[in-house]
Amino acid sequence: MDGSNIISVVGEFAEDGSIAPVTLELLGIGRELAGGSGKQVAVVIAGPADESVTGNLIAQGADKVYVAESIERKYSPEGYVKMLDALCNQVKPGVLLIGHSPVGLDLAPRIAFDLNVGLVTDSIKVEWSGDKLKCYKQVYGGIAVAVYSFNTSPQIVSIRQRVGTPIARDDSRSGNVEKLDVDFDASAARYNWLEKVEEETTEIRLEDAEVIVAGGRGMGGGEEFKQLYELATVLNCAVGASRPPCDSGWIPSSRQVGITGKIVSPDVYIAFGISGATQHLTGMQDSKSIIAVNTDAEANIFQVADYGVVGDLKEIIPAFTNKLKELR
Amino acid sequence: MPEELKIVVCAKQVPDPEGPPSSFELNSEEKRITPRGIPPVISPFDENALEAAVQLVEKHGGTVSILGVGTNLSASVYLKAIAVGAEDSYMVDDPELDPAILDSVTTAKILSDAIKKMGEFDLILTGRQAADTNAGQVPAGIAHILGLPVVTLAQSITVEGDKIKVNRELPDGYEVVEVPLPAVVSVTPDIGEIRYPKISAIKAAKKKPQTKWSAADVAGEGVPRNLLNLDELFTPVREPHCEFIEAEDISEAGAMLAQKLVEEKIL
Repeated sequence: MDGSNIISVVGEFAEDGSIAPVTLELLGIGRELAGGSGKQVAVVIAGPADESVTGNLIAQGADKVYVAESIERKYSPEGYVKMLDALCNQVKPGVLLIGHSPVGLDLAPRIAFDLNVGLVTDSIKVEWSGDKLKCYKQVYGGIAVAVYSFNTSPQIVSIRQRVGTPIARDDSRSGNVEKLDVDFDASAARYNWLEKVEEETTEIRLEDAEVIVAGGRGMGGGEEFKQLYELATVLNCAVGASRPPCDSGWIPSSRQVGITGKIVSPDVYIAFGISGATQHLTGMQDSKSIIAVNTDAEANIFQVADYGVVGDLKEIIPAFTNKLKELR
Repeated sequence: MPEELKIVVCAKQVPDPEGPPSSFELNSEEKRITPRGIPPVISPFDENALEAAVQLVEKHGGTVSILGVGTNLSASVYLKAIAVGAEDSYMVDDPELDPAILDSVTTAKILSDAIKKMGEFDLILTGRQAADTNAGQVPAGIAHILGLPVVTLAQSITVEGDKIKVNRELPDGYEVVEVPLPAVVSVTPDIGEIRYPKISAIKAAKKKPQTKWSAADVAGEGVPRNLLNLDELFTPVREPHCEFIEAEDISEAGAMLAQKLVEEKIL
């Protein structure tokens, strides 16, 4: 079969069994790439073909759902590689879209090396150039953007989470569900998953936060970060930091935003005393609204900010916090 | 557990990623970036791998070897890495291995060929990704070529008999996975910042072997082909659009900012 007209998404699931947000985002990207060209969007999933799942995938943009029932739905590298091997050998899709998620960033290089084909990881934009895909990727920590194309098929790309937009759910859409035969002996696997340990924290995780208040070197010390935690209580939001406060031990390194920490895109990002090193900007510049407060009017952070105040944090943070308490 | 844990750390030399953007000169025609006036360093992600290796041999005994692939590798950069706690270093240094054009597949192939030539290892450690290409493909590539299991994003590694247990980073905690040795593991910065070598350790490192090879010295069978084309390289354009809130009294500006954000329904 010639599947070069098929754009296939690799389906992921949340722990509660629901379809992972990144999969819906990739289906949205798949639909955009298919456009009116007659290309088809497929999704491949492991595990049982329950109609609630396959129906949802079709309503969210899939024309075809390939189901590998012999592979356990919970991610195992060896099982998922076998599933994608089968897909690429039997269906031969022209494009394979994988989420740059904890699962996808592990899986994508494995399948690319297994098939000996090219892969672009953590892409921030994909588009057609003729009949070939062009993949945009930040390199050198975001100082530059590289655009790659492929010499091999399938064209495999892992796409950063939140880059794609899911289509509006449409229950009138129709699609096919097909079984995918995969020969896999799970007992021979060398990769043995034992357990998951959840982080015990009462704080909002950076990746989940709608609002982040973050401090940089300009905060001055760990004591000063208490002001940000007070502000975070008012806004019910997460606290983040650039690299220097983490290196200095003012705040745990799990709170670091940037290419060496967490890449975030909340609705609102408020940066206090952050000068805006490239590796930090790369980690937060896709936030919907960016507010910056810094003593230096020339600081790089103002290049990406929507609103800014130039001045002493010691005066601005309490005044800002108190006014918000009053207004909210 | 192996009698003596032998670890190789793949350490890529990159221009200091903490350097200001102006020190990365971008030539869009040649599609390459040339560092200006900033020193080469070991990719910070690979420094995390080195720290992980040193922690493991402190606990279990054994040795750490450092392996770098590239062009114009700095002996002093790799010497400093040895001083952190390694036994020796191997540098595959060749004009053909220009990191500006080396892709993940070729990098993984040369690293694997070099590792085979270096000897037998229990553990091959890398950073989560390189600080220049940010691709994160090499660990899986080495594992594929050498036929070893690979675990990505390790926050911690524990050796138990002839297996390792790895705490693998997740957004809301970690998962524990187990693979048999020998294995390839990529680590996250959570595994620990690299320690500073003592002056005495830097002196001692000078007596330790630093082996230099050319690409031809290590080349095994098969020449990797280019799987990707780099079509464009450009600097993202930022259009400053910041609305500054100004007031005579600076704390007033803080209050006005709050007022503005609430009025605009941003907060």
